Amino acid sequence: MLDRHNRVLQIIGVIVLALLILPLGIVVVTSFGTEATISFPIKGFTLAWYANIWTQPAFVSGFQSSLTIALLASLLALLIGVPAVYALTRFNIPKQGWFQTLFLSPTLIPEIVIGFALYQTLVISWRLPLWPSLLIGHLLLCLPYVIRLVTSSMLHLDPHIEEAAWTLGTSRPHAFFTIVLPNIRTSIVAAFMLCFINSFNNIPISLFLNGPSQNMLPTAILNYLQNNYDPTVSALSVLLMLFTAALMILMERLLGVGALTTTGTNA
Amino acid sequence: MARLTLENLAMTYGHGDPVLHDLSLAVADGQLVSLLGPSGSGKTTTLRIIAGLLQQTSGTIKVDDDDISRVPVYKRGLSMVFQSYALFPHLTVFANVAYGLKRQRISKAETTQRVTAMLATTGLNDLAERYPQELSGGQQQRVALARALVVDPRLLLLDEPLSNLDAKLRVSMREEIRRLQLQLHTTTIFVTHDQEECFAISDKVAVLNQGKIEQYAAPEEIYHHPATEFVARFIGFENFLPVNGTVADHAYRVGDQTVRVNVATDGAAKVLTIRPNQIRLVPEGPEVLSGQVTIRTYLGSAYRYTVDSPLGALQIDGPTEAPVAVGAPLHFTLPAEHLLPLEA
Repeated sequence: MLDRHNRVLQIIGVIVLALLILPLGIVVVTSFGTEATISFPIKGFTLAWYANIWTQPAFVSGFQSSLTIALLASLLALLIGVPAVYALTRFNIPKQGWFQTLFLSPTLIPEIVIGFALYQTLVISWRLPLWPSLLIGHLLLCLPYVIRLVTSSMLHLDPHIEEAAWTLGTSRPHAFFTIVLPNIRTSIVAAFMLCFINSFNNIPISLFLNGPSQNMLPTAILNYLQNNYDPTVSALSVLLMLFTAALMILMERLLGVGALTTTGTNA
Repeated sequence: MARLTLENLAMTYGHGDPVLHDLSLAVADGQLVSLLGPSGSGKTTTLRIIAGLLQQTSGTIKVDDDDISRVPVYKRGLSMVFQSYALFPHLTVFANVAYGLKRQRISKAETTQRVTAMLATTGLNDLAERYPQELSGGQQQRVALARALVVDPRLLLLDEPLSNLDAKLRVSMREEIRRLQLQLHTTTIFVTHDQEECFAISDKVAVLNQGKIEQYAAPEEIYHHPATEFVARFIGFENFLPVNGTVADHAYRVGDQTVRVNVATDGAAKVLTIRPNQIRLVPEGPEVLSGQVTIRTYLGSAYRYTVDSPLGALQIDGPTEAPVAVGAPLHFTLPAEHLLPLEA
């Protein structure tokens, strides 16, 4: 009975995995095709599409600005989010639940709505340039990840360990850096990675806030696909997969197995 | 290694009722003093105020002649051991113990030497490179003590340090705490709700009730002469007989009976109290009281009877060799030498 149960589970697992991996596998294969349009199976093998990526200025500049915005937005989200979480979990703040919801609210609103709202307010009404508007949009996108991950890890941390540090002669700020921070490190790195990946891949917010002077990689890919259906996009996708995989591996190395999936409580 | 003086401490959270009223306490150099009381009595609040983790509403805290009432926690030079031990999870045992010395900018060589010596004193030498989560409860407790004591604190504050240990370990750890405290001559404040635990190791005990000290005395004094009904109840007196009037110098009227005592009180006694095991079971006779057993429970060393008597319901302990059935009569006398008159 149990065996049959396991067999069914195994089959379902394999199907799910196949559904996840197969499309990616097809993308990888098509990136080496010789045809002028994306087709599968491929007739010949070439690396030309990989070379072609670098001839598209939108991809190169898009990669640069996506990278910059993702890095800055993730860092800013940490700089704002970690102190906010510390305050929310350690001080007696009136309307605590209200603040908690406020910080998490960007996840409740469809991103496309956030993008449109920011476009209306920042770009049309306030006449803010695109770059800072994009940064603000991506910061909003990132903040909930920081709040959620770091809050759960702060709640798992015994508040008395900080008090013990104070009684041993450490001031409050110093205790934060020597005692609190090392113990929530895992969740901070995990939050940074999630922020970075989500910001780097984001389309709905970027769609409203980029323009000819300021484009982002995902929207550049979307634009390119509308006009050319050639395997350059497949090649670029393969490079992005490798890039994300490298980030994941780096994270495993830094934090150990499962840091991303266990929402980063103290190791 | 200091005297502690608390003068008129008061504490109120927000607009609520006060949790401490006008609490004063003097602890002599090198003594171990317990704050004993039920939860909500203000004992942990008092300890946290001494540590500087809470700011009192009013009152003064002095260590020797040094007024520390407004000194921030990290400048007080006091160590605290927490109920949860509060070890730093990311540091080894050695680094945990060394943490306080590092903050004092003590040289690396001296730090190593002092930490090593403290680990030896607390029997932790072999565990120096372990992490807290790899230790048993008792070992973690020792690390917490070592970390608190290595900095030579003026006062050691212990907040229910034994309540997370199992019963057997609790006894050996409390002896360990007493041994270390005597060896290092550190003035220590020990917060507990366990009467036996604090009597075992304290020089003096302050019994707290609703933010006030009911009695501050040596354990023996408290055990034999509780000052108030609250203290008596807390330390195992079960029978409280309301006094209707005074018959003679050492005789009181309880219900329609006259009860004699050996000790006199300064003022008028309100209640007489006696422990269940001090009531004497005797054969039926003159001057002997009788009552009917309504409940019998087994305590291991004795049976405890609830007896419906002319003095009201009484708790009486009887020997396990001769159990008395529920519903049967029990004959007893109240020995005058064990009855305590209480004024409050």
